[in-house]
Amino acid sequence: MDITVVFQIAAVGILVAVLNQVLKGAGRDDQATMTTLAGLIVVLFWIISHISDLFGTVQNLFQL
Amino acid sequence: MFLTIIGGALVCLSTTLIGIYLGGAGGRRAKDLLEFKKSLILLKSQIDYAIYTLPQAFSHIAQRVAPPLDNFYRRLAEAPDGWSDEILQLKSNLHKDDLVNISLLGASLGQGDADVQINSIDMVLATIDDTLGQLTVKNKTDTKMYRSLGVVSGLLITIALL
Repeated sequence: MDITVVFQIAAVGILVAVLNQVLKGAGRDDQATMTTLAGLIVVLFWIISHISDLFGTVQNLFQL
Repeated sequence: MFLTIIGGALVCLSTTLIGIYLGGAGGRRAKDLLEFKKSLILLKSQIDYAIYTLPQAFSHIAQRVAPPLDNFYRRLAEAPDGWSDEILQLKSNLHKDDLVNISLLGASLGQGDADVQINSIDMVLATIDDTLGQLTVKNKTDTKMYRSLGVVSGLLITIALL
């Protein structure tokens, strides 16, 4: 697995947290929630194949 | 790698500029509202003290207000009955609500005596003052928010595309 994915996820986490604070400060709580959700979905798209690989490896390891 | 950095910088720059532009929208609207308020106060004084006819009053105001209101009053000086139509076609930073509110004045301008017209202008002025009061509070938070959103969303897009 490429280590840059981890850094990308960390950066997205920080930026989404900043966006969340800015939107909440402006009284736009709904948009803040939607932004957090969008960040989560983007990150899930990135790591979904890695999670699939992980489950595959676990299956092979324990011969399930 | 070099192209990636340039591309990322351009994306960040564009979103930051969009944020700055959107952050200034409220300020531009407030500026246009203030200009309109100034023109209505002038109109009121022209009707009340100078006792001009409407085309004369519009012509005088056209020389004393900033664009795009000067053209608006110049057109009205030629066709004083077209207030409501002209205001809805005015290209400015005003919202549709502001324009609809100001267009209501068209029903009373040129109708009835001077007092009725001055009362109508006062009513529109009071609404503009209310809107300006709300805008002042809203602008403070919105300007900061749009600028921050511009910068942060640019970074977010760049990281997502890397």
